[in-house]
This record gives sequence, structure tokens and C-alpha cells, in this order.
Amino acid sequence: MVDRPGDSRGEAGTAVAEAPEAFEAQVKGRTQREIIWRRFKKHKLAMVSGFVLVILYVSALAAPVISPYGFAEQNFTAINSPPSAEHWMGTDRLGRDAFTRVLHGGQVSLLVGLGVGVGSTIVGTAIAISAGYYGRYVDTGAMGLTDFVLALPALPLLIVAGSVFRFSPPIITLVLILLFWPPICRLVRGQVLSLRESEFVQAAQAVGVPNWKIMVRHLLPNVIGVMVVQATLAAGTAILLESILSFLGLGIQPPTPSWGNMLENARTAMTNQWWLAFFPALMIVITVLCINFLGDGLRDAMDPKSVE
Amino acid sequence: MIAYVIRRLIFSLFVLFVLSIAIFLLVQLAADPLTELRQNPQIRGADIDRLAALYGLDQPMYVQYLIWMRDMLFYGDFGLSFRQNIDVTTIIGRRVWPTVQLIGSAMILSIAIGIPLGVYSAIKKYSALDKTVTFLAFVFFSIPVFLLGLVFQLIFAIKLAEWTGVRVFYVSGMGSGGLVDWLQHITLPALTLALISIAVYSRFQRSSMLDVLAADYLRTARAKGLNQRSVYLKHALRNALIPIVTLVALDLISLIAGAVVTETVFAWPGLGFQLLNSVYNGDYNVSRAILMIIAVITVFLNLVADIAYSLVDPRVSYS
Repeated sequence: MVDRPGDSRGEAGTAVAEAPEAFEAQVKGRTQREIIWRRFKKHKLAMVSGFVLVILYVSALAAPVISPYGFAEQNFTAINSPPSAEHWMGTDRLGRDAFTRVLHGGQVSLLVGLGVGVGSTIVGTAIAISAGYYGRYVDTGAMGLTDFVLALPALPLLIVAGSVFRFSPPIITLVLILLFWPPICRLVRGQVLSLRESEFVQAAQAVGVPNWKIMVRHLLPNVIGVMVVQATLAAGTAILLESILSFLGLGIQPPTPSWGNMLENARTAMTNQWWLAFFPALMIVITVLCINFLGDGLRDAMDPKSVE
Repeated sequence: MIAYVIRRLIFSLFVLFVLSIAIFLLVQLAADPLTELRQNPQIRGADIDRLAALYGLDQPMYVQYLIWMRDMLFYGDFGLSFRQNIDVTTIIGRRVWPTVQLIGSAMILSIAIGIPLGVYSAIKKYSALDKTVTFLAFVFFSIPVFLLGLVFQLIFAIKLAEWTGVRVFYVSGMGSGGLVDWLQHITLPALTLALISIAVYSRFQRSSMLDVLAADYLRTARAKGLNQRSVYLKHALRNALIPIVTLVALDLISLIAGAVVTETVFAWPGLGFQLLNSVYNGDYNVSRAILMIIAVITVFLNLVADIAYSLVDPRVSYS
């Protein structure tokens, strides 16, 4: 999706398959966490994706240490040279090492993804839990705000905003968080609304547990499944949007490399210097694909209705 | 129900009001055309002042906003283009049709391909085709739309022409010839735009169909001894299509956003291509007009999706 991660309105829900999972778990004495981990391990694609993502994040964070050159360092004897032993992903028209730039560009893309995934989930969940728990005017206000942000044309607004404020990685993360929290908020609120009426919350209220403690101790752990899945969706979409904006020249500005602006740079050289476009493109697709597979695996693993 | 619709309508108008202020201010901040002129030593200050008066740029900001709103609402006038010195309405008029063509083709493609794929995936759950469709949907969800466009340009336009020696598809513009020429131009951008939506439709249709297939009334239909074809097409598909109504509205919003990028990649002379050009060269009235058009359509489609959702799902309360 181009515009925004998982809007719940169109969703039709997945098929229901009954499983006496909880009962079985009780019998075997497994904790919830063990059950989820066991199920997740079975999702091979998600396991591999998680592993690839760990490698990507570690290498992006270690980019200054492991990259063979500086990201703006020019080698005038190797301009537009194809991939070789010296320059694994070749060099661009300024003689800069593409591998180094892909690593550094990854820092931007991956951190924006992580930041938006975590940030929008925290904001969305915080608003949703308060709205769902307190109800009444808190809920009305929060839902109004959610509807408001959901109705905004995200990409067109980002395009103008990008021409006003020169987006740096932290700023673009912040802006995307402000745009991405509503779908998460809607989903979590729905869950909280039903949890609020459950017996364990009523019991906690009856013995005088303070409201904040009920929200943190009793509601939050029950919505973590939804949160994690939504976080992956938001992270993937954020990386895509950042790359689109940077490609249009309205996101991360050169000389700071990001996969998006590297592709913009490579666009005119696509037929002659294929490597300049190929590697950043490959990295975007691999990263977002892995994030989506990971989310899919987590969704299956945390779905109490899914069959083992 | 009527009260609910009216309330949503008022809310949408409020959203549009806030958006109009945001768009006005953002564009103002992004492009002050006078600054550029003031830096040019060849132009006298008096000329710049005259220009400012001509375009109404000498008024205070809120007055400019009110004039802009008044002209837009009561006269359908978006002002003058600072770069081309013609009515923005004229520019928009030229750009609307290509965008409608592109988004329309993409929408038809995505519904015509996505829904049958989803239905088939659900009926043949876990078959090779289902697995392939699922995997491809994930891949298309993970590709930024401009990249898809670039890949298509490289393979189906540039390389294909190199290999075959015949120009089959073009990388830019919309052509000026007949139907064949038009098809050669629109195929790649329309496909670029449609592929993500095809993935979206097929996924939603699949899960919607699976929901229906698990329902009791379907078991009844089978138990009655109806043939499979009639069970699937008459009983299942009809009900499974209901949730798709909201999706059409929501997906159209995605298509509009995607069209801005796709048009830019393929230099397709529509509103999105014009928007980016205006943003790049500071043609503020054109940017504002196109952004407002997109804002109105997006807010409207959201309204439609909300109302359709509440009509389709009886569990949604209107209070």
C-alpha cells in the first residue's frame, strides 16, 4: 500500500479454525510465551526474515566501522566502475564506493523504519488504552483525532512538507509517527473496549487497583500481540515512504546517502551503470519483504485461534 | 443513520477546512516567488512591488487566504499560475483527463485481476497458485511504487526495444496518436500503479471469501446438494464481495497517492506530474489547487468508506 499501513476498515478478518490450544497448553504446562515461540519457529520464512533483519541492522549500525571507505570519499581512478574486488558494489560517477553508501544509506532507512514502527505503536497504544479505558469524552476526542489523521492525504502532504522543511532522518521519523499512529490506535482500542468489561479488570477495579496500574499491568500485556504486528506494518510502510520521498528529492538530502536518494542518483545511469540502482533497490525490497514476513509470522504465532 | 451521515459530513468539512489552512501555509512557506526575484539584481524593486500587487502577494497572509478561499468556493477560480501566467483552472483542465485515464485503467485492472485471484486462492486454499499469489502479494507490498516503474521501464521499454528492435512500450508521455499509440504509452504506468492494488484486492478478497466459506449457510447450500459452481458463485461470492465495497474507496485513495509518483516516473502529463513540477519550481497557486483537489477527493472517499462500512457491518453503532 502506498499511503498508509493496515487500515482496519477494509479488513475482512481471517478464517476461524477452532483449536483447543489453551486447554492443551494448560495440560502440558506451557506458558503463553512458549506457545508463541513454538509457533513462530515453525514459520520458516519469518525465522529467516528475522535473522536477515538482525544482520541488516547490525551491519547498518556498524557501517562506520565495517565500511571500507568514507561515504563521501572519492576515488578518482575508479569512476563509474562496475562491481569488483575493491568495490563490491561498484562506484558512482563521483568515484564513491557504492557498498559503503549502501551501508550508510541503510542506517537512514532502517532507523527511520525502526523509529516509526516503535514510535507510532507507542503513541497509538497509549492513546488507545486511555481512550478505551476511560471511554466517554476521552474516547470521543481520541477517535475524532484518529479519524482526522486517517482522512489526511499523507503522501501529497509529505511532498509539500518535504519542499519546506529539509527532512533529516529524525524529523522524517517524527512526521511519519504523527501520520501512522491512527490505524494502530483503532485496533488496540477495539481490543481494550472488550478487555475493559472482562472479569479480571473488574476484579482489579474492585480491589482498588489504581487506573494507571490496570492499564499498564492488565490491559497492555493483552494487546502486545496486536502492537507488534502493527509495528512491523508501520515500519515497512515507513521505509517505503521514506524511499519514495527521497527518490523525489524531497526526503533525505545528499550527501547523506539513503536508499531512496541513491536510486534517484542512479536513475539516469540505469542502462549503463546497472549496479548503482540495483543494490539500493535490492536492499529496500529485501528489508521491507523481511519486515512483512516477520510481521506475518508474528501474527500467526500470536493468533490464539491459529492451529499448531 | 441519517444523523450519523450528517455528523460524518460535518466532520469531513471540518477536516477540509483545517487542510485548506495547512495547504495554504505549507505552500506559502515552501515557495515565496518574490524572494527569488529580489535576489535577481536585474529586476528593479518597483517592478517586484508591482508584480506582488498584481498577484495579491502584498496583502497580509490571512487576507490572501480568505481571497483564495472565496475565489475557489464561489467562482471556482484557483488564481493565476506564477510561472505560466495563465489561469490555474486552465492548467488543471488539461491535466485532469490523463490522470483519470491512468487511475481508471489501474483501478479496472486491479479489480478485474485482484478479485478473481482472491476468490480462486480462497477456493483452492494452500494450492500452488494460492501460495504463489500470497508470495507475490508480499513482494508487491514491499516494493516502492517508483521502483516498480523503473524496473518496468528498464525491462519492458528499454531492453525489450534493444532485444527485438521494435518499440513496444514507451517510458514517458502519453502519445498523440490513435488507440495503439495510447496503449503503448499507458500500459507500463497503469500496470505499475495497479500491481500493488492487485495484491491488496487479492488478499482482502481471499480472506473475505474464506470467512464466507466457513459460514453455516454455505454448509447448508452444499448439504442441499447444489453443485460447487453454484455454491461458490451464487452463495459465497455475492456475500464475500460485500466487504470489498469499502476497500474500493480506500484503495482509490492509495491509487491517487501512487499516481503522483507513477506519473512523475513516467512523465505522464496528469495532475500528479504537474503537482511535483509546481512544487519543484515554486508555482504556488498550481500546487495549492492540486493539493486541494486531492484533499477533497481523499476526504470524500474516506467518508464514503466509513458510511459504506457502517452500512455493510450492522455491528457498527451510529451513536
